[in-house]
Amino acid sequence: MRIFYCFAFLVLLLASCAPSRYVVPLKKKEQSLSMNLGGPLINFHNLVIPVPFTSINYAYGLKKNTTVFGAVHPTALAYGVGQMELGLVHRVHYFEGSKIGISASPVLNVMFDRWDWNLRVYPQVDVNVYWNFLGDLARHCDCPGDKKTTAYVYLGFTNWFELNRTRANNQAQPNNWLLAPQVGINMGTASWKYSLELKYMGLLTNNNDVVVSYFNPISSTGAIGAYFTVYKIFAAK
Amino acid sequence: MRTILLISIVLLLQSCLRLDSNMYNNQKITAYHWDDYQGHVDFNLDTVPACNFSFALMHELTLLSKDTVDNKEYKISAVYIGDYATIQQDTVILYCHGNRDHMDFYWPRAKLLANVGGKNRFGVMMIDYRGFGLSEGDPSEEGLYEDVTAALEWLKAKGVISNHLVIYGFSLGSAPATKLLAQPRSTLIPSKLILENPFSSAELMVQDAAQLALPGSFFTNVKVNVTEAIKTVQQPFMLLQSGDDKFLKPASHGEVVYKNYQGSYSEKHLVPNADHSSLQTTWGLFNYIKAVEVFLVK
Repeated sequence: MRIFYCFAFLVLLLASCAPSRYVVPLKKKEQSLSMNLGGPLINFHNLVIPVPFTSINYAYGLKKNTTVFGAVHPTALAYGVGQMELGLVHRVHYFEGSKIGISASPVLNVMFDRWDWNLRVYPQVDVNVYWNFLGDLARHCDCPGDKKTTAYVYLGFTNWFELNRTRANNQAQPNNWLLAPQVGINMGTASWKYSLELKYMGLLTNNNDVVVSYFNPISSTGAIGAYFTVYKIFAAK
Repeated sequence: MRTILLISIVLLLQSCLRLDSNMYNNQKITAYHWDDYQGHVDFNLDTVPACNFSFALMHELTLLSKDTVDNKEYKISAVYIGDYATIQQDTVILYCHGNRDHMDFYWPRAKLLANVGGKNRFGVMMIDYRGFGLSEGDPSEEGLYEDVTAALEWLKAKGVISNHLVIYGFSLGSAPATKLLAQPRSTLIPSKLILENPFSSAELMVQDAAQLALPGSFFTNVKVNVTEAIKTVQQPFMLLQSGDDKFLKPASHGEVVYKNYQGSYSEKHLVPNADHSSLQTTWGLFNYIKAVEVFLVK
């Protein structure tokens, strides 16, 4: 089966190919290094697989409820585009009884290319609701080697904001707000955590004419992304 | 974190991958099949016997197209529908096809044009850009211009004059058709321009896909900008626009190209409910060829 990616579709993928970085803040002074692999789902030789885009992330527990982080995108780098993220995640509220929390994550996406040295900056805000259904995130032991497993599921939205009012050929920019819903699960010990996220990207982008071997059982717009992330947690010293 | 940033900078400066090759939906083949082609086509003319013609008037050609960057010469496949004996007197339509497969896919469209104004009233020439069909090489923006220029040079050598030549660009073909009128590379310059569902610019296609105003340079070195090129075209211009083009939205592509035209004469035909590849069938084949004929003889 001939796989044909349309240029337009690849653009869509590269422009929005990352999951929520951190849904639950680290503990104060904890550090985390994580690597993410994944992208929109495609049909490849009769298998449904995610396009293997990558990003590498570092995070630091600044306060009890606030973690700052940065990320780089190696896949974009390979195409001559420096794409970096600087952001934080803040626990807005946590309901002790139900173990449900709400977090918000403002992020600044900075992109530039090495070909024409164009620069773009995109503010992003992720809002997630999570349910800590296994273990207790709030009372998890900070000591390395803790084998107790905690897990949570989350549901939220990624919001990208386009600051430019015009685009190529002096046309008005049609959207200044892009929305992508996501759902995910995160589980692991105090030292290692793993997460899997599904994200619906390009809600309004028709996918019929942009790619042949495309997997989206839900609709003819957008793409469903699947992302796997491994986190190594370094306890506070 | 410092190590990650250092590695990132090195990777960025070493990077050489681009998405340019993904922009082209070309297909290499081992032979053309024309009427016997079994692959997908947007429409066929089996039910329109009047559109068939003597294959004595169909000439398969191989042209040489010189790459100005690496000085290589590529063999480019082409077809001419018409009578060589009268080519100097005939009006010829140079058809620049879209971004799909090869000439077999566009053969019904070329045949339809060969029936504008009556069977074989106008000569029709079509080429496969490099990397499409049997044409050598790989597709590139510069290759589009060079290959169409090679076709112009062939027509010039056959005695075709500018006043008897019309250039027609469909979708991707709107790029060479418009560019070679705005910045001619041959002394044979078409006297009229027809664009069917043109695209505005490569950068706008990037932005359509991303929904963000990302620079085109993030993804491609292709700088095609039909909307800018059309500003310097003076030849009479006809726009054939599908009203429901889901691939290239009329409001941000064809309509913008049309508004930017500042030449001597223009006309626009908007076909309601037609999608990117179904303008002819939605409009009606005979309505289509009649409109083209009226423009050509105007």
